[in-house]
Amino acid sequence: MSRKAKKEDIGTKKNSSSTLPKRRVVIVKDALLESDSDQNPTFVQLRHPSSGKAAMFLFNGDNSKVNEVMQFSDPKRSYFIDQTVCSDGDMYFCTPIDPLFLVLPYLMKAERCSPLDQTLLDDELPEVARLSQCPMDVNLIADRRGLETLNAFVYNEDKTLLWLQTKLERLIPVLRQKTINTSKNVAVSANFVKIGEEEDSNVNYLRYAYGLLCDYIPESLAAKFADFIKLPPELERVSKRKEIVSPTKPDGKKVKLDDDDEAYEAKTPVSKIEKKAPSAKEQALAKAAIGSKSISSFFKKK
Amino acid sequence: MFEARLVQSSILKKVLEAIKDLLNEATFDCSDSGMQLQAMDNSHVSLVSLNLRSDGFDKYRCDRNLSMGINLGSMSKIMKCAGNDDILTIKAQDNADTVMFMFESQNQEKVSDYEMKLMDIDQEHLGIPETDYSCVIKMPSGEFSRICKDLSQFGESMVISCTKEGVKFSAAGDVGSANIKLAQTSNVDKEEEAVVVEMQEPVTLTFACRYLNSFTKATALSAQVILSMSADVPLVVEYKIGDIGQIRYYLAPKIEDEDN
Repeated sequence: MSRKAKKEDIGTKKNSSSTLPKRRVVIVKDALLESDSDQNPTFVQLRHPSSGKAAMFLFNGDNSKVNEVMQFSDPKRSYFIDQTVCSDGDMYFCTPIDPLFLVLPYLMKAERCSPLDQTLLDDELPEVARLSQCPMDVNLIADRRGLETLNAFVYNEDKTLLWLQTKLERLIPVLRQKTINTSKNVAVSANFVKIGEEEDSNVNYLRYAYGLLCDYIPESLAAKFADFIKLPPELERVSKRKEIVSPTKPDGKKVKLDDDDEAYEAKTPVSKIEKKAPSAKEQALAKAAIGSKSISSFFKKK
Repeated sequence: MFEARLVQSSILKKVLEAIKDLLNEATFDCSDSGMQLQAMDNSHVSLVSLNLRSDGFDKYRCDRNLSMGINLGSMSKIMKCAGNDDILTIKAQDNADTVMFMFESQNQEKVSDYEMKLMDIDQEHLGIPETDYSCVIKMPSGEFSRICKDLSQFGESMVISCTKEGVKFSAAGDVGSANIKLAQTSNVDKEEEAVVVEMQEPVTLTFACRYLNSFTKATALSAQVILSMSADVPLVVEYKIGDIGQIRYYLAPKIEDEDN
């Protein structure tokens, strides 16, 4: 996924022209600029799969690859470009993204089976239609219906969860290989290697990878995915926090949990629907129902 | 936009009382032809089907089909704020997430507005096939309510057996057993006070008393109730709602014990 690309050979390009007053510094892979197609790569707005809001994405010339655009903001920075100053000090990274992530919310939303190019319609963000030209295996998250030429699919949740699990399983070894610190609350020293925490770190890697994936899937699916991979609920959180002595409160008093606690948290608790306990009357009614056939066995769904 | 005006707001009040026992929330489907509601109770044993025709309203306007997911408990609270003689107007914008109830007193001196939030409800509509029932029993709704109340003291389930002599309701339990027989009325003064049995074939079915008792909350809507039965299909309990429509309850029969 996106992490891989950063380490690879990257080229810098000034996405600028002298007639335009505003210039930006964008970092992309060389390959993207050497497209066979005569068309230039295009920035378009698509719906972000997690938030559902519009976000920037970069398509290469022939719409065969899609990159997500990440912005690194620093308001106090500017660039010298040749003999001029570019006041916008932000940096934009373009990293490849699996187009299936972008297609997924549309498939989930479509109630019935329909051809892919009809599923990928959005009045607000018409550019989403470009996605249907990306080579991808929609079969991983949906069932094909009808003829192959029709390219019609209907969303399949079980397949999607399996697909996400595969992503997760591939992600964890990469995280391990790059020795990314996944433990939540304790800073890890670069000089001293901690031993004997092997089992705990397995869960940490799982949770971290899950968090990464959750940034690219709708929240409702994230909760189901957590159940599917049997992500253990977070425990001992508060007790661990107690051990930290904050510099502002050296007496080691209990630190209040911050709002911006940790970016990669399991999203499960948020999407839990509050369900009221049934009242005595409802319980009695449910009890009375025992022994009766279900009404839907007589009347079929429309 | 959707707007419906009903001079007798008490009708909707009674409708709410008649369904809120079984349903916590439901979707009102509003269209050109009127307001419909179809929903199963939580246990999926019974189904409520309500129809209020547009011509029964004093003013009715529905530009676009509209589905309003409503928490019936909240709506019932609002309806209780209406006086019995008040004139009710229901209003909703297209794609709105709220619905407005306006009550006007007869002399126009008091106007109250209540706005209620709508909710998203996963709704699945069931297709109810047209059925020729083997037995159709028309009887006074008060009588039916009384029978259900009395028999539910004896057992959890009630056997309704319809023959050409008439209809028999029976229940048995720890206390003992109870049987109530109704014969067809011979001389009919008022139609709604008569017991009329139209029968092609005798039918005997068993139902849960508690559900029948919940259905009788609609007694206030109509003086007459119509029970329709056929072997191995749900019972239909129908109450007419004035000139405006009707409410139908469907109840699945109890499964007969193998050893009986």
